[in-house]
Amino acid sequence: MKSIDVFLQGHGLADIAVLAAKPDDTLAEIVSKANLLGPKEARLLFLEDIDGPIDDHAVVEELLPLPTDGEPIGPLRLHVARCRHVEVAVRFNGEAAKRRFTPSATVERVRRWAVRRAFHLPPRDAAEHVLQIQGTSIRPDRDVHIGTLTQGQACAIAFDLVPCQRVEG
Amino acid sequence: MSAPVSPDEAVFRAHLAGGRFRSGAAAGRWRLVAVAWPHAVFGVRAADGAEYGLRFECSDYPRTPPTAGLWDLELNAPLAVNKWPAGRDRIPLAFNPGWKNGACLYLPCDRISIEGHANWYQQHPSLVWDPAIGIAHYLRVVHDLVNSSDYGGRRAA
Repeated sequence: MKSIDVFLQGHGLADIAVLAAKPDDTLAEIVSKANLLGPKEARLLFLEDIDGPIDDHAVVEELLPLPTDGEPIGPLRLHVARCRHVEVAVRFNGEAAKRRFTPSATVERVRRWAVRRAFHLPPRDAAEHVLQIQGTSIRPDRDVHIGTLTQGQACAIAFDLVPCQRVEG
Repeated sequence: MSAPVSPDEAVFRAHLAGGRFRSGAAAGRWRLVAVAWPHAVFGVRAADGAEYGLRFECSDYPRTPPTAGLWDLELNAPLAVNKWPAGRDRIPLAFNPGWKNGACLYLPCDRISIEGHANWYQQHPSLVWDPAIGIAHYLRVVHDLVNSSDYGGRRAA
Protein backbone atom coordinates (compact mmCIF):
# COMPACT_ATOMS: atom_id res chain seq x y z
CA MET A 1 0.00 0.00 0.00
CA LYS A 2 1.42 3.32 -1.07
CA SER A 3 2.35 5.84 1.60
CA ILE A 4 0.77 9.29 1.39
CA ASP A 5 2.61 12.41 2.51
CA VAL A 6 0.75 14.52 5.03
CA PHE A 7 2.01 18.07 5.56
CA LEU A 8 0.92 19.29 8.98
CA GLN A 9 1.18 22.87 10.17
CA GLY A 10 0.08 24.32 13.47
CA HIS A 11 0.73 26.90 16.12
CA GLY A 12 3.94 25.93 17.91
CA LEU A 13 5.31 23.72 15.14
CA ALA A 14 8.58 25.22 13.96
CA ASP A 15 8.42 23.72 10.48
CA ILE A 16 5.90 21.98 8.30
CA ALA A 17 5.80 18.45 9.73
CA VAL A 18 5.97 15.68 7.14
CA LEU A 19 4.10 12.55 8.19
CA ALA A 20 3.60 9.31 6.33
CA ALA A 21 0.07 7.92 6.18
CA LYS A 22 -1.67 4.84 4.87
CA PRO A 23 -4.76 5.59 2.77
CA ASP A 24 -7.07 4.19 5.46
CA ASP A 25 -5.46 5.97 8.41
CA THR A 26 -7.67 8.37 10.34
CA LEU A 27 -6.56 11.93 10.98
CA ALA A 28 -6.38 11.14 14.69
CA GLU A 29 -3.86 8.39 13.97
CA ILE A 30 -1.80 10.71 11.78
CA VAL A 31 -1.78 13.65 14.16
CA SER A 32 -0.81 11.41 17.07
CA LYS A 33 2.56 10.93 15.31
CA ALA A 34 3.37 14.65 15.58
CA ASN A 35 4.94 16.17 18.65
CA LEU A 36 2.16 18.57 19.54
CA LEU A 37 1.94 20.62 22.69
CA GLY A 38 -1.21 21.42 24.62
CA PRO A 39 -4.28 19.40 25.52
CA LYS A 40 -5.55 17.03 22.86
CA GLU A 41 -9.17 17.95 23.60
CA ALA A 42 -8.56 21.58 22.60
CA ARG A 43 -7.17 20.72 19.16
CA LEU A 44 -9.11 21.45 16.01
CA LEU A 45 -8.15 19.99 12.63
CA PHE A 46 -8.55 21.82 9.34
CA LEU A 47 -7.92 21.09 5.69
CA GLU A 48 -5.76 23.71 3.99
CA ASP A 49 -7.75 26.76 2.92
CA ILE A 50 -11.07 25.18 3.96
CA ASP A 51 -13.22 26.91 6.56
CA GLY A 52 -14.41 24.86 9.53
CA PRO A 53 -12.81 22.02 11.47
CA ILE A 54 -13.09 18.40 10.36
CA ASP A 55 -13.71 15.28 12.40
CA ASP A 56 -10.49 13.53 13.42
CA HIS A 57 -12.13 10.20 12.51
CA ALA A 58 -12.04 11.23 8.86
CA VAL A 59 -9.99 8.87 6.68
CA VAL A 60 -7.00 10.17 4.71
CA GLU A 61 -7.95 8.76 1.29
CA GLU A 62 -11.45 10.23 1.53
CA LEU A 63 -10.04 13.73 1.91
CA LEU A 64 -7.99 13.52 -1.31
CA PRO A 65 -9.20 13.90 -4.90
CA LEU A 66 -10.65 10.68 -6.33
CA PRO A 67 -7.93 8.86 -8.26
CA THR A 68 -8.75 7.85 -11.84
CA ASP A 69 -7.33 4.47 -10.96
CA GLY A 70 -5.11 2.98 -8.30
CA GLU A 71 -4.10 4.71 -5.12
CA PRO A 72 -5.02 8.25 -4.04
CA ILE A 73 -2.33 10.81 -4.63
CA GLY A 74 -1.18 13.17 -1.90
CA PRO A 75 -0.08 15.22 -0.29
CA LEU A 76 -2.77 15.95 2.24
CA ARG A 77 -2.29 19.38 3.76
CA LEU A 78 -3.60 19.76 7.32
CA HIS A 79 -3.60 22.33 10.07
CA VAL A 80 -3.99 21.79 13.80
CA ALA A 81 -5.15 24.76 15.86
CA ARG A 82 -6.99 25.86 18.95
CA CYS A 83 -8.49 28.88 17.14
CA ARG A 84 -11.55 28.38 14.91
CA HIS A 85 -10.72 31.57 13.03
CA VAL A 86 -7.86 34.04 12.79
CA GLU A 87 -8.64 37.74 12.66
CA VAL A 88 -6.41 39.16 9.92
CA ALA A 89 -5.62 42.86 9.65
CA VAL A 90 -3.71 44.31 6.70
CA ARG A 91 -2.39 47.87 6.30
CA PHE A 92 -1.58 49.43 2.96
CA ASN A 93 -1.03 53.06 1.96
CA GLY A 94 -2.63 54.42 5.12
CA GLU A 95 -5.69 52.20 4.78
CA ALA A 96 -6.59 49.14 6.81
CA ALA A 97 -8.69 46.09 6.07
CA LYS A 98 -9.80 43.23 8.31
CA ARG A 99 -11.29 39.82 7.71
CA ARG A 100 -11.60 36.48 9.46
CA PHE A 101 -9.91 33.51 7.87
CA THR A 102 -9.64 29.86 8.71
CA PRO A 103 -6.33 29.19 10.53
CA SER A 104 -5.45 26.88 7.62
CA ALA A 105 -5.60 29.73 5.10
CA THR A 106 -2.27 30.10 3.34
CA VAL A 107 -0.38 33.36 3.26
CA GLU A 108 -0.97 33.39 -0.50
CA ARG A 109 -4.73 33.07 0.03
CA VAL A 110 -4.69 36.09 2.37
CA ARG A 111 -2.37 38.06 0.09
CA ARG A 112 -4.70 37.56 -2.88
CA TRP A 113 -7.67 38.75 -0.85
CA ALA A 114 -5.70 41.81 0.25
CA VAL A 115 -4.45 42.88 -3.19
CA ARG A 116 -7.64 42.05 -5.12
CA ARG A 117 -10.61 42.47 -2.81
CA ALA A 118 -9.41 44.74 -0.04
CA PHE A 119 -7.15 47.22 -1.84
CA HIS A 120 -8.08 46.66 -5.50
CA LEU A 121 -4.56 46.75 -6.92
CA PRO A 122 -4.15 46.37 -10.70
CA PRO A 123 -2.91 42.86 -11.60
CA ARG A 124 0.66 43.92 -12.32
CA ASP A 125 0.97 45.81 -9.03
CA ALA A 126 -0.81 43.03 -7.17
CA ALA A 127 1.87 40.53 -8.17
CA GLU A 128 4.58 42.85 -6.86
CA HIS A 129 3.26 43.11 -3.28
CA VAL A 130 3.71 40.65 -0.42
CA LEU A 131 2.62 40.35 3.20
CA GLN A 132 5.02 41.30 5.98
CA ILE A 133 4.19 40.71 9.64
CA GLN A 134 3.72 44.09 11.30
CA GLY A 135 6.66 45.23 13.39
CA THR A 136 9.02 42.70 11.82
CA SER A 137 10.86 42.08 8.55
CA ILE A 138 9.31 38.60 8.25
CA ARG A 139 7.63 37.84 4.94
CA PRO A 140 6.23 34.33 5.34
CA ASP A 141 6.33 31.98 2.37
CA ARG A 142 3.18 31.55 0.32
CA ASP A 143 2.36 28.07 1.65
CA VAL A 144 2.55 29.00 5.35
CA HIS A 145 -0.77 28.74 7.23
CA ILE A 146 -1.69 31.95 9.01
CA GLY A 147 -2.61 29.99 12.14
CA THR A 148 1.10 29.29 12.63
CA LEU A 149 1.84 33.02 12.81
CA THR A 150 -0.34 34.00 15.76
CA GLN A 151 1.36 34.93 19.02
CA GLY A 152 0.46 33.60 22.46
CA GLN A 153 -3.24 33.13 23.07
CA ALA A 154 -4.36 35.63 20.42
CA CYS A 155 -6.24 34.33 17.38
CA ALA A 156 -5.11 37.28 15.30
CA ILE A 157 -2.31 38.42 13.02
CA ALA A 158 -1.50 41.81 11.50
CA PHE A 159 0.36 42.39 8.25
CA ASP A 160 1.61 45.24 6.13
CA LEU A 161 1.22 44.87 2.38
CA VAL A 162 4.63 45.90 1.05
CA PRO A 163 6.19 46.13 -2.43
CA CYS A 164 8.90 43.74 -3.56
CA GLN A 165 12.03 45.84 -3.78
CA ARG A 166 14.78 45.90 -6.37
CA VAL A 167 18.06 44.45 -5.15
CA GLU A 168 20.81 46.82 -6.22
CA GLY A 169 23.78 48.76 -4.94
CA MET B 1 30.45 0.44 2.53
CA SER B 2 29.42 3.97 1.64
CA ALA B 3 31.60 6.93 2.59
CA PRO B 4 30.58 8.77 5.77
CA VAL B 5 28.48 11.88 5.17
CA SER B 6 30.11 15.13 6.27
CA PRO B 7 28.27 17.26 8.86
CA ASP B 8 27.41 19.95 6.31
CA GLU B 9 25.97 17.43 3.87
CA ALA B 10 24.02 15.79 6.70
CA VAL B 11 22.31 19.09 7.54
CA PHE B 12 21.67 19.73 3.85
CA ARG B 13 19.99 16.34 3.43
CA ALA B 14 17.96 16.91 6.60
CA HIS B 15 16.68 20.16 5.09
CA LEU B 16 15.73 18.28 1.91
CA ALA B 17 13.69 15.91 4.05
CA GLY B 18 12.05 18.81 5.90
CA GLY B 19 8.60 20.22 5.37
CA ARG B 20 9.55 23.54 3.80
CA PHE B 21 11.47 21.92 0.96
CA ARG B 22 9.04 19.05 0.44
CA SER B 23 5.95 21.25 0.54
CA GLY B 24 7.38 23.40 -2.25
CA ALA B 25 8.42 20.32 -4.20
CA ALA B 26 4.96 18.77 -3.85
CA ALA B 27 3.44 22.00 -5.15
CA GLY B 28 5.70 21.83 -8.21
CA ARG B 29 7.64 24.97 -7.29
CA TRP B 30 11.01 23.23 -7.30
CA ARG B 31 12.65 19.82 -7.45
CA LEU B 32 15.96 18.24 -6.57
CA VAL B 33 17.85 17.06 -9.66
CA ALA B 34 21.11 15.74 -8.24
CA VAL B 35 23.54 16.00 -5.35
CA ALA B 36 27.31 15.52 -5.75
CA TRP B 37 28.54 17.11 -2.55
CA PRO B 38 29.31 19.97 -2.13
CA HIS B 39 27.28 20.66 -5.26
CA ALA B 40 23.54 20.26 -5.71
CA VAL B 41 21.36 20.93 -8.74
CA PHE B 42 17.70 21.97 -8.53
CA GLY B 43 15.01 22.93 -10.99
CA VAL B 44 12.73 25.92 -10.26
CA ARG B 45 9.41 26.31 -12.08
CA ALA B 46 8.57 29.72 -13.59
CA ALA B 47 5.17 31.28 -14.27
CA ASP B 48 5.23 30.21 -17.93
CA GLY B 49 6.07 26.60 -17.07
CA ALA B 50 9.76 26.93 -17.95
CA GLU B 51 12.14 25.20 -15.57
CA TYR B 52 15.37 26.96 -14.59
CA GLY B 53 18.23 24.86 -13.32
CA LEU B 54 20.36 26.13 -10.45
CA ARG B 55 23.67 24.61 -9.47
CA PHE B 56 24.61 25.31 -5.85
CA GLU B 57 27.97 25.13 -4.13
CA CYS B 58 27.16 24.36 -0.51
CA SER B 59 30.44 24.01 1.41
CA ASP B 60 30.04 24.59 5.15
CA TYR B 61 26.23 24.45 4.83
CA PRO B 62 24.22 25.97 6.44
CA ARG B 63 26.54 28.17 8.50
CA THR B 64 27.95 29.63 5.28
CA PRO B 65 25.39 30.60 2.63
CA PRO B 66 25.52 28.68 -0.64
CA THR B 67 26.19 30.29 -3.98
CA ALA B 68 24.31 29.36 -7.13
CA GLY B 69 24.37 29.94 -10.86
CA LEU B 70 21.91 29.15 -13.62
CA TRP B 71 22.43 25.66 -14.98
CA ASP B 72 21.36 23.88 -18.17
CA LEU B 73 19.68 20.69 -16.97
CA GLU B 74 19.91 19.02 -20.39
CA LEU B 75 23.55 19.84 -21.13
CA ASN B 76 24.70 19.67 -17.49
CA ALA B 77 26.60 22.92 -18.01
CA PRO B 78 26.18 26.63 -17.24
CA LEU B 79 23.04 27.98 -18.92
CA ALA B 80 23.60 29.96 -22.12
CA VAL B 81 22.78 33.63 -21.57
CA ASN B 82 20.06 33.64 -24.25
CA LYS B 83 18.14 31.13 -22.11
CA TRP B 84 18.29 33.25 -18.93
CA PRO B 85 15.09 34.78 -17.49
CA ALA B 86 14.11 38.13 -18.98
CA GLY B 87 12.39 41.06 -17.29
CA ARG B 88 12.37 44.82 -16.98
CA ASP B 89 13.15 45.59 -13.36
CA ARG B 90 14.04 43.06 -10.65
CA ILE B 91 14.77 40.13 -12.97
CA PRO B 92 17.68 41.61 -14.97
CA LEU B 93 19.29 42.78 -11.72
CA ALA B 94 19.14 39.34 -10.10
CA PHE B 95 20.01 37.37 -13.26
CA ASN B 96 22.86 39.50 -14.53
CA PRO B 97 25.47 37.75 -16.73
CA GLY B 98 27.81 40.69 -16.16
CA TRP B 99 27.93 40.06 -12.40
CA LYS B 100 30.85 37.73 -11.55
CA ASN B 101 30.73 36.49 -15.15
CA GLY B 102 27.31 35.03 -14.49
CA ALA B 103 28.66 32.60 -11.90
CA CYS B 104 26.12 33.58 -9.23
CA LEU B 105 22.82 35.35 -8.78
CA TYR B 106 22.81 38.95 -7.58
CA LEU B 107 20.76 38.24 -4.48
CA PRO B 108 21.28 38.80 -0.74
CA CYS B 109 20.89 35.06 -0.05
CA ASP B 110 23.95 34.26 -2.20
CA ARG B 111 27.32 33.78 -0.49
CA ILE B 112 29.35 35.62 -3.12
CA SER B 113 26.90 38.42 -3.83
CA ILE B 114 26.34 39.37 -0.18
CA GLU B 115 30.08 40.09 0.16
CA GLY B 116 30.62 43.84 0.11
CA HIS B 117 26.90 44.52 0.44
CA ALA B 118 26.52 45.08 4.19
CA ASN B 119 23.65 47.47 3.37
CA TRP B 120 21.55 44.53 2.18
CA TYR B 121 21.19 43.26 5.76
CA GLN B 122 19.20 46.42 6.49
CA GLN B 123 17.54 46.92 3.13
CA HIS B 124 16.54 43.34 2.34
CA PRO B 125 16.47 41.34 5.61
CA SER B 126 13.86 38.93 4.24
CA LEU B 127 16.18 37.99 1.37
CA VAL B 128 19.32 37.39 3.44
CA TRP B 129 20.35 33.74 3.89
CA ASP B 130 18.66 32.09 6.87
CA PRO B 131 20.55 28.97 8.00
CA ALA B 132 17.53 27.77 9.98
CA ILE B 133 15.43 27.57 6.82
CA GLY B 134 18.26 26.57 4.53
CA ILE B 135 18.10 25.75 0.84
CA ALA B 136 14.31 26.21 0.62
CA HIS B 137 14.84 29.89 1.35
CA TYR B 138 17.14 30.45 -1.65
CA LEU B 139 14.80 28.40 -3.86
CA ARG B 140 11.83 30.42 -2.66
CA VAL B 141 13.56 33.72 -3.49
CA VAL B 142 14.26 32.51 -7.04
CA HIS B 143 10.77 31.03 -7.43
CA ASP B 144 9.19 34.31 -6.31
CA LEU B 145 11.23 36.18 -8.92
CA VAL B 146 10.36 33.95 -11.88
CA ASN B 147 6.71 34.00 -10.82
CA SER B 148 6.51 37.78 -10.42
CA SER B 149 4.89 40.17 -12.86
CA ASP B 150 8.41 41.31 -13.83
CA TYR B 151 9.20 37.90 -15.33
CA GLY B 152 9.01 37.91 -19.12
CA GLY B 153 10.04 34.41 -20.16
CA ARG B 154 13.41 33.37 -21.49
CA ARG B 155 15.59 36.02 -23.11
CA ALA B 156 15.58 34.47 -26.57
CA ALA B 157 12.02 33.12 -26.49
